[in-house]
Amino acid sequence: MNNKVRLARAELRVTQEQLADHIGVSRQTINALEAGKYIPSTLLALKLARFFGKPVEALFFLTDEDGSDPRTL
Amino acid sequence: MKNALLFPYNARYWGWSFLLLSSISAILLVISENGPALLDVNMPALAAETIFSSQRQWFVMHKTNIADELTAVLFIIGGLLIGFAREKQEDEYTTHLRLQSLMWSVYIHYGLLILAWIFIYEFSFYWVLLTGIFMFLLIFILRLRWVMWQSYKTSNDE
Repeated sequence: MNNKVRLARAELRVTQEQLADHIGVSRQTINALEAGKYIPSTLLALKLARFFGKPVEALFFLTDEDGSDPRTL
Repeated sequence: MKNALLFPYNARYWGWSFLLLSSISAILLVISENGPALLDVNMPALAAETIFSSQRQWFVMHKTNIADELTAVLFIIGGLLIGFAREKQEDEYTTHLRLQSLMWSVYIHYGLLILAWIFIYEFSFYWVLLTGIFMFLLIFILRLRWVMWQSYKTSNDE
């Protein structure tokens, strides 16, 4: 799974620290998440989506590594 | 994220103090082979069996020097306080790193134990059992502190 959190943050001109404070997590979490080192929980993904005013799918998306698209089954 | 099973943040300072104190005590015990006479006491034992006697005794008062018992208990409590103290900002990522470190610790600990079972024999194996008790906690703490440090360092470089 990959994400566009860094891009969305840049659009709003928000620092990692500001985003972390608003969401209630550490800056390390936002950093690891943006670097693709950590896949967030559904709760955190929803909080991020609400913060950026976007649907979750606009922030997080599956990659080829995540396997086949379930819709093709 | 609330995790009721964690100790408060400041518990880590107690943990490091206990770990340092018990490590010094362990070194002194290995060198001197005996604890101070002050710690010779009768302890209620659930089971007791000496090397030279095959007869196991149950529920007896056992005369022993409790220096090694105190050292081990202090080390284990210290290790638990360090490994399971809350981070300054505890969240799902720190929980993830902690669980990952626990997994690492299980693999390395049992990997080393397998090697020891195969390659270490007789009384030397006693030392394997003894160090094995503390090795798990030690590997866990080292791995956890390393990944936490890496995480702080990487985010500070950002």
